[in-house]
Amino acid sequence: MKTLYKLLLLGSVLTVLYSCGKELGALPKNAKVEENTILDQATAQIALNGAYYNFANATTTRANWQQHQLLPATLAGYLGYGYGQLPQEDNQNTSVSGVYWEESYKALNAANGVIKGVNARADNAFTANRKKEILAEAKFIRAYAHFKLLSYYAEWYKINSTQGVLLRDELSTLSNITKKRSTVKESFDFILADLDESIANGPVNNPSYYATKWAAMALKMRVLINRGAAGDYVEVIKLADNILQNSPYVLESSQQNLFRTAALASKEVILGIKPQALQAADPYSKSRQYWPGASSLYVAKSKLRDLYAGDPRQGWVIGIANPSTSAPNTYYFTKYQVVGGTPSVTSETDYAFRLTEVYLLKAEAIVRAGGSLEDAKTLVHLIQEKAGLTVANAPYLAVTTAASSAALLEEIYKEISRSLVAEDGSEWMALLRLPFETVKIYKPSISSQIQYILPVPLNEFRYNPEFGEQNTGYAAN
Amino acid sequence: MQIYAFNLGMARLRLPNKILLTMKLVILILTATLLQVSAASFGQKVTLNEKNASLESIITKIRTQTGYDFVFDFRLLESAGKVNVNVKDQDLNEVLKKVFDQQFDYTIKDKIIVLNKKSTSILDRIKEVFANTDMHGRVVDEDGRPIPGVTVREKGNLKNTVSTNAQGFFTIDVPANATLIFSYVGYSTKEQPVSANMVVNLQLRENKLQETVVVGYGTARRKDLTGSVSSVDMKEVRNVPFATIDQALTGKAAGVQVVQADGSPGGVAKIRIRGGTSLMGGNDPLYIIDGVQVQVQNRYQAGAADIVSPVERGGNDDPNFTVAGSFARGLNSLGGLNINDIETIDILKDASATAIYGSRAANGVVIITTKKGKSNQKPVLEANYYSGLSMPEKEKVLNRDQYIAVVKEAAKNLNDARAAAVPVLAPNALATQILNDPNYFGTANTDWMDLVLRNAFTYNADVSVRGGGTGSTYYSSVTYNKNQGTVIGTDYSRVAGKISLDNEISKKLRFNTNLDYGFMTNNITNGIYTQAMFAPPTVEPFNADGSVKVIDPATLGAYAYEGFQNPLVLTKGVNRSNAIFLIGSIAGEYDILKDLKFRSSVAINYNNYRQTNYIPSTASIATSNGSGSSNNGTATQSQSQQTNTFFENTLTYNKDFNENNRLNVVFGTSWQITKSNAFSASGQGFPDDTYLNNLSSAAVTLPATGTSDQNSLLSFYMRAAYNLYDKYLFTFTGRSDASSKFPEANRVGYFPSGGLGWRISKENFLKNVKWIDEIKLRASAGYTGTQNIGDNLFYTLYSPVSYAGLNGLSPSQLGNPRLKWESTLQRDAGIDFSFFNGRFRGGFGYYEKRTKDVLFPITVAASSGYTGVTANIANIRNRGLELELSGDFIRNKNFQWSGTLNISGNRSKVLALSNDVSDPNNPQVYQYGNTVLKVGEPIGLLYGRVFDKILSTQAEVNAYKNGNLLAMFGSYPYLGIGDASYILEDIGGGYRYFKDDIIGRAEPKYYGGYTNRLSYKAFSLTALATFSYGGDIYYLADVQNQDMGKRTNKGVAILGRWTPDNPNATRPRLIQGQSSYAYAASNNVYDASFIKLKSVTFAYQLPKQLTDRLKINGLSAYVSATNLFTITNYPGVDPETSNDPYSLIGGYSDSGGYPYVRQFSVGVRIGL
Repeated sequence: MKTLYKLLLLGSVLTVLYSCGKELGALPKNAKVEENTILDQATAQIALNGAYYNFANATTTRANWQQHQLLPATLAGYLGYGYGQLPQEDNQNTSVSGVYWEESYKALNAANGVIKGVNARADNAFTANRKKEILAEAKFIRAYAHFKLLSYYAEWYKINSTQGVLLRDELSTLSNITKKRSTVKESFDFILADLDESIANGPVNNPSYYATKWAAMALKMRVLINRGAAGDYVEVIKLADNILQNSPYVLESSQQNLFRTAALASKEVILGIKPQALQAADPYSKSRQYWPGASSLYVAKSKLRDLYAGDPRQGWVIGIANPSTSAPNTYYFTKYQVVGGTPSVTSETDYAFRLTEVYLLKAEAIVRAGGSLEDAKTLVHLIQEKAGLTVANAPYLAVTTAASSAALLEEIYKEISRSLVAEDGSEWMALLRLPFETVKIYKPSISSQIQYILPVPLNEFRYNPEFGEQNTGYAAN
Repeated sequence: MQIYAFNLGMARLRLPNKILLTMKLVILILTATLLQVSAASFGQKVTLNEKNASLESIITKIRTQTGYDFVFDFRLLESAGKVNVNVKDQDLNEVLKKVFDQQFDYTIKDKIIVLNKKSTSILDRIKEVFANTDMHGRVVDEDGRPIPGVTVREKGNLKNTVSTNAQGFFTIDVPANATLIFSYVGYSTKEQPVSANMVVNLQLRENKLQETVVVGYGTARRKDLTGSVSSVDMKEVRNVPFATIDQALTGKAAGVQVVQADGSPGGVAKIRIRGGTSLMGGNDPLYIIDGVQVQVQNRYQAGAADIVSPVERGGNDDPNFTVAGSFARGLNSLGGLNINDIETIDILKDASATAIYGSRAANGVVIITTKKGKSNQKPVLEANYYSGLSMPEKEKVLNRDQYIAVVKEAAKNLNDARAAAVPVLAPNALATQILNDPNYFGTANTDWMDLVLRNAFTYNADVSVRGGGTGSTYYSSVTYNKNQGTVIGTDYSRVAGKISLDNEISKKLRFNTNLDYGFMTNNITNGIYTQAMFAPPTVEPFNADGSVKVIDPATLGAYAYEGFQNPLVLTKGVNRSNAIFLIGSIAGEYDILKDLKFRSSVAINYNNYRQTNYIPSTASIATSNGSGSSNNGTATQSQSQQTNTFFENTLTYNKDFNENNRLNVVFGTSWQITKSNAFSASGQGFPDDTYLNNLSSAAVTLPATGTSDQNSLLSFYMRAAYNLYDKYLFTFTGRSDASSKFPEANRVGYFPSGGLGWRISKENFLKNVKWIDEIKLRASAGYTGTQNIGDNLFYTLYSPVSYAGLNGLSPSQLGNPRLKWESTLQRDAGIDFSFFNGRFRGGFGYYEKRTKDVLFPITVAASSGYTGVTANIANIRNRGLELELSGDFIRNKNFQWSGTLNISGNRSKVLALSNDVSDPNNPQVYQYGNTVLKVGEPIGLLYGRVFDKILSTQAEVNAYKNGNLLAMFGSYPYLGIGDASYILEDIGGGYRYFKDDIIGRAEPKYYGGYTNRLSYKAFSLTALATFSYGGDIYYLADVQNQDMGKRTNKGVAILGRWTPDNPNATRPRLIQGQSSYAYAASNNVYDASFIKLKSVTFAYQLPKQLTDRLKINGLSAYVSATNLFTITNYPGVDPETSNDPYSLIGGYSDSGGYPYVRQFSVGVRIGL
């Protein structure tokens, strides 16, 4: 009997210790930890949506995508501040160094979390291709974020530069944060590898606020046309043709209609940002920064107004003059929000990729690849017609009469600006693809290629001592 | 016979003379020294020749000549007359007859002469003899345990003496109407009329050395302690109308700093024991209430809307904090405890005492034990009732005439300045109107303070019943307490009490059950008082139709975001909390061996909290862009619940090997799970402010929140206390805690401590120094920890988000797998002493607490996708001195006067803060609103602009303007003589801007309290004064008193403004719509030193003859007052305040949220 008691005692002690140990290691009740976030397809989908949330740079109340519209258009000279003048309007970039840094790394970290979690699950936890598709979408987000970093914080225009992107391919932990930046070539290669997988496995159909293989192709077009290595332009044309022939996207018959009513329902939108539910009511919502001006006001400068000379788009993209005396010669920028309008889901919607860009990039690639100028002009004209231009309009004529490839490239840059200004930086990158001397003419405050990009935020050097060199021309402390 | 028994008893007890002297009944024994005189008893010859001699001198002489001892009641001599005697070599018997016969009876036995009062007559004596019976009885202590060896005497016949046996029983042969006197060392002597099978309760006398104190998982005698433990005498606080127990700790113990947050009824007191140790977690001590751990926490749940505080707007703290701040100061998590149920409060301060609570003990431990029943006690019902009046002490604001004068002066100064400008500017239209339009100010004369404040009433009634038989004891109580607040719409009410039932199943097995319960309702302010400071006296409170007038901020020259509004708009607001507090436990105790006891208990600490907020339709609420409409009313209802379950097992081994070796060992395990959940729902847009403001009436439903959490703790602990020769004391404690809050690798924390005590007064060289009762040196060192932090800081977390209308999980927290315990190494040395028979007692202590690995947010590279992580990075040190002195100045039969003083000083220092070491430019300053943390500096640094001077010459004006960013951008169009100037610093580009700097230090140099006790017969007067010296406080309301940038009402301090006639003023001149101030600055920081008469109680206890006649146990009446007066240089209402009592970093501002309160009460206490 005594032995039995001893055994019972031992057993109960062990049970207590086991259950205590289990409780001590119990996972939090109000949040998920890395280990239990992705368990199956449904949870993988939820985590992926969390990555899109970061892609949209969202908070509970709104998607904070507006800087994708403002900074490139400001650097290119089209937009400005409504109550004064900002240093970046003169391409003084130090004060805007943080603009894309945090949101890009948050998005790609979330994407890395999805990739890690999904890879850890067996294939049979997913239906059909869904595992590959989820990975493809996550890699799209990662590629997009890396490319944003490459475009704004690395010498993307010098393929041999050591000043590339600090690439991250795993979920951040305290021990892997310190890391060195890669070279420009490595950065391009990494991004393109992600995109190739996205194109190969990405979903064919998806709501317009989720990535598809087509979005991956469009992004790859942006990447390649900027890299401009041998074969890249041809590849751009191929990608464009693939999209134009096989994708479900169709140009909107009226560009104004797209921004005023259709929004994400437009057949032209390859990838957009869906506003959060309460976004329109937010006192700092995006639309309120265009009209009437909340804490900030962003306005069109006369350079943009002049760009639309002889163009019916001037009527709806450019509003009345900004009454503030601190910012003379500026006008309300009414592409998203009309003067007198109140914020709505439509006015709060943002656009990352539209079919228009595919046409215009294809035109530019044709010119750059030494193809037929007429073919290129046809594509540009097609876009212009959708914007309501006819042969009689000056911008249309300018394209028609462009005699050299250099002249046509300038006209394509202008059309990219007119069509895609203040969307996701196409106008700025198109400007920078022009020869440096030409860039200086279009934006006289640029005197050095240093001004093409921003400095890496100083905190990075402090908290990631392995990062490496600061971008040439900027201070690291 | 009786004398013999008496002497034998004394011998057996080995009572030292000292103790005998303390006995109420004084027996004088004149010891024979002449042992050689040992002849036959009779026939001793005596020679005396005395005239008018005292009896005492006669006795002395007889004793010297005969060697006979005398035994008598000393008081007999007082009544004896003078003696004339002249005998020579007479027989002793003859002499005795001559000397004593008329006054006394005497008997001689064995060379001892016993004197007694003369009996009345032979007949009476015979009657008495026949009336005598053998009475039986038992003497027990407060806990019903028998006391052996108690001396039992018959009153008036002290020869008749017996003592109790080992079971406490005694038998004495006395008349039926006799009264017995019971006395025993260390206990109060008690008189009680005889009755059959009487049970006598003896109470421990207040001998500080003998008193027991409750320590972790047990009790100890104070003289045996090696740690630093302060006790609060409940008798001193029970008649003061404190609503909650934390207030009662004020000024009572050295090293315990108590700051009442504000005057809210039942509000929170900030308590810091020997300084704070945690930056992110709480810094209140751990409370152990009837053995159950209770951690103070702010249960407020953020509502959908808050109200802008114009006062906080003046500083850098969050201004959208009116309701949240009021809850933080007004909602007391200890409110459920009934003060009248509390038996003892012991405050453990050093590691030797606290380390047994390991990871929760770094901020000290307060052990509260409530009352229990007593065995063999017939039921005692005690009732207590008091009612009181609270009066607000408010900010002094301008009256109508003063206000108009100030506004007009500002208008005139504006137009004068415009006329003096180059080129000349036309007079300002509004200023001209103010100056010339006799109707501008209207006719209203509103005293806003009067409208929002009131004299408030307090009622408290409590009833308790206790008693017990031989096997069971019980105690139950209920109290109802209602405290009106001095701000309209605020109050605190509570029903609380306890039920305890202890059963002795067998001699070895006992079961104890206990339930402390409390139901509280708090109506908390939403800033009505704050608004009343600023509403102009010239504005009517109501419209003609009786509705509350809405004050448009523009009419005050203010912006909406600054949050000024008609205080009466807020009266329809609801900010209520309903809380349920339950502490229940059931414990079994089994005596395995005589010295080995096993105890097992299950306890629950349960809190349920419901919060109802409603911001009425016309109120202006805080929004992300300032202040805005509440959209026809915003309501939030929330609920939270927390259950802490404890499973404890302890083994106690208590062995007195012999009188020189005593050992007490406690070993235990504890398993604790805390589960909590909360939700809140909100709505906006209500048809009515009063009736239809339940959530279902809302037009718009706002997002709801819901959370749940859990953490658990597994602990093993032990303590061994060894007492050698009653001189050398050793205590070792250790605890290991495994907490779910830490990653597996660092889950277990070890908290050892050791303490030594040396009762030097017991050493031979001091033993015979009569005036020294006790001198004890003690020293201890040990580790404690804190874990009052978030549950899941070490995990990388994904939090739920929503995008595109669907669920998402987004990385929200970078995990720190290296997270570990904050640990505090505390070292302590002290001396305790008691001199002159306990008349002068005290202690002096020094401590040093070094807290390392304090959790603090650190920055990580943004390329990680995160901004920061919580890490063990900061180090803090606290050290200080404590002195506690008590004296019994007068110990008369009828009149006693005693006092206790404690004084302490704590010096904190931040030793390390951040990972940001690579940046030489980093000033290592971390700003949190109005305060900063700075390496090398103490906690509680006030931060802001630095006031320089009032500009007195044009040259100074020009110098101040030069490069001044604000002046260059047109902020000071009229800057001139009489305006304020601040220290500026170069910010590059040729500009200068305000320099922010440390402008005050909130940590007091010394603080403490003095308790004075006077009693005369049945009257007693107890007073407590508290003081604090050397700390600073941010007087935020004063920020608005410096300028006429806005035409809100001001405090009277503005009358000291600069004018040409008052050129030495320290406040700037007034100029309409203009301000030269720089928000909160050094001229708003004041010395918070004070001496305050915190409480006075005057009580009268009905004499025993009367209560006996009324057949009641006791009746007393008392009058009490709190906060009678304060001596301070602080220009605000009260320097003892905190705007955030939970924070260590902040909370050093006077935010004017609730007036300071003075209270008077009258009560009566009756025992049946």
